[in-house]
Amino acid sequence: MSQNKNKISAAPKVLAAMVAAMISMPAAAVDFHGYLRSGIGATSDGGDQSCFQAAGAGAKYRLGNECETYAEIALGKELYNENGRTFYVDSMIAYVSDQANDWEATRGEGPFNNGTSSIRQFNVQAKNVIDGLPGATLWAGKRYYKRHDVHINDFYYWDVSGPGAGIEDIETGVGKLSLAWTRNTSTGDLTETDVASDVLDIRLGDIKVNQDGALELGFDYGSAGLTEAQELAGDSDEDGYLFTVEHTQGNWFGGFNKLALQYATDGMIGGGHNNATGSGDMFRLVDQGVVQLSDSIEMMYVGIYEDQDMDNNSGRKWTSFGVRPVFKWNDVMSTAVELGYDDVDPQNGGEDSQLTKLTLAQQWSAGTSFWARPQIRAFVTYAIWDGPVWLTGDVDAGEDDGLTFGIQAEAWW
Amino acid sequence: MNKLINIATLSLAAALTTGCIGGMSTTTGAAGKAPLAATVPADRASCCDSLAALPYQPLSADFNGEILLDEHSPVYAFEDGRSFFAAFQLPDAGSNTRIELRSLVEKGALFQPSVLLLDSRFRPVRAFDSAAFPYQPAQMLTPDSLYGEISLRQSYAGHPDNERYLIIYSSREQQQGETQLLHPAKAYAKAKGNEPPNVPDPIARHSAGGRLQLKVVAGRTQSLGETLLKPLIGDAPAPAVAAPVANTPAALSEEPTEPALPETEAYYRAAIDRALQANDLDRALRLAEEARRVGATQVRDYLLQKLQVK
Repeated sequence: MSQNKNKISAAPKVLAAMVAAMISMPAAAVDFHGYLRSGIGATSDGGDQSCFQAAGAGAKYRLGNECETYAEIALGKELYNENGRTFYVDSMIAYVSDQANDWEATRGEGPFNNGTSSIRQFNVQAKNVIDGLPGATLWAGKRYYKRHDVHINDFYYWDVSGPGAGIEDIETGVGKLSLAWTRNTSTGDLTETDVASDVLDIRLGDIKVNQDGALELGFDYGSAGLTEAQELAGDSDEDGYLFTVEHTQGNWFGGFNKLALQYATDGMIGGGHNNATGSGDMFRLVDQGVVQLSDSIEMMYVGIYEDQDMDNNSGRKWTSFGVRPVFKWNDVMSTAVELGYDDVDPQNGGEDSQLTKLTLAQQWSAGTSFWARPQIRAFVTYAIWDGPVWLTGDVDAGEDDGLTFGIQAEAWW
Repeated sequence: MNKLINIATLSLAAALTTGCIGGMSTTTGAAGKAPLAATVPADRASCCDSLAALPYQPLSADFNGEILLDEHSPVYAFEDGRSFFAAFQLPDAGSNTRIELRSLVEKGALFQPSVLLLDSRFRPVRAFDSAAFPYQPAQMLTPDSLYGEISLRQSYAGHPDNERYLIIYSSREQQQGETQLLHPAKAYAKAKGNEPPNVPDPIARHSAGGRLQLKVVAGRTQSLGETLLKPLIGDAPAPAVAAPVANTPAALSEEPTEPALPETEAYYRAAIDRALQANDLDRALRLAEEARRVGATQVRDYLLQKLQVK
């Protein structure tokens, strides 16, 4: 018997090695991230769900006020990891449709083929590959780059994402320094051809300034690179600057607060892409946070003030306030109320737009956190406005209020 | 006098066994009801004299349920600390059987598990500490948790070297630690590809009790292995080793097939430390010998070193 044992000893070892190799593969499995929102809604007077936004506002409060299906599918994988050097490949496809029909193709003729898909991320991130910069990551490709958003109105106030390249998280002793070059394309105002616009992004983040508080400083320079033909035709090539100072406070009433101050000139007026045509300046303040009001109530809040002062009087002052308190009944059920107010005051003396939106939603989600998803919510939304409004769906443009209801799912993972 | 105490201990052990069974359920309905025990009460005696005497519950080959460790659970003085524990007799399902263990964060607290695997003679053959159960951020329907998978070494049904007993406990050091969780707002940012808010992550303190999920994933029974290996090993061994283990010590292979895990070595070292502290040299020697048999080859040197220092 022991003879037999000796004889077979090599075979199981090879087998074991093979099995071990196979078993060890799932450990380095593909990272699957993503996002989706989708559902069904209607307007109380009949017809498809309407969504409400003050005309000229940079965003709308989103609870019970989203009329489309939007999804992101992200697959990433660490392909190499030796001595702290890693290579990571990331990808993301986004998909959006009107949420009107079963078949909503991304191309083709027909009334419901309104789907659109977009290649949003395909990049490689290489960490610790530059010996002089330990901890830093070299990256290139299409990427969501350090985007800053407000969740409850889906407002991206600092977002230079696009095709790009850079080095991020360089330790400086004061904070982490990141450098990036990204691209977006605007349209020439005379030739109506593509204008390649570039943004140079420099940020110093993670500067510890107080207990649980950190500062991030950002400088973006945007420029438009005209071709000879575009230059001859006289297309605008406004460059511009965007300065951002942001303070994040942790342990803030059981949550956190983020305050951002931004100043931008000319082409960089907006959220981080150079538009080549703007001329003027912009000041913006965004203060947002999530707080724990009691064991069973969490609330997100935001206040936004933005003043765009344009040379051609196309600017506006936008003021926005919103709160979303969530009361948790138990581990899986909660009630959310979202109250949002937007006021847009056009620079050209046009009519003011004021819109108030109130939503009541009964929510079922996995877990009790404000951020717990996936979530299914049954909502009723009432919006009332004065002045011009941006509407989708079946509320008549002539109305000055609207009531909608529906059921929506939201998930991220 | 001694006898009396032993009897008392035994009856206590019996009572605790019942408690342990009561603490295990296959439903999830009771989630969040029982408070976690922060520490093992000082007046709680060890249930048993040795690992062999623990109240093992048989675990079916398709078990998938919750284990609640709380003040009703039995206590044992493990080599690395007193702890509430759950002890199971594993199904002898053959090769490829996998154990999946998840310990859930509840109300900011967490039971950080250690796992001890014993062979059919109650010898600890493999030990797993915190490194085997890393943190997993909450995702979809699973809350924040520690999670690990263990592939059992069960060469073929009935072999006495097979891993047959599993003990879940938490060492003294583990009970005093804490685990850093991922802030849910950061998880959102990560999923959306946004810059995570620069805020401190929540901390879960470790607790002497907790809620765990245990799942047995039976491999494709040994028939596959047999099919593959039969031509090589022949038909002989199965009946010989299927006999009761205690009566056939010769059937146990004395030479380990592969080296033990560092955690197993550490477990034996801690045991030797304790034996030496108690001036029980005989026990220390036996531990070193047992360690050698399960492949923990460095333990003997460790004992020799300790003795030289003295």
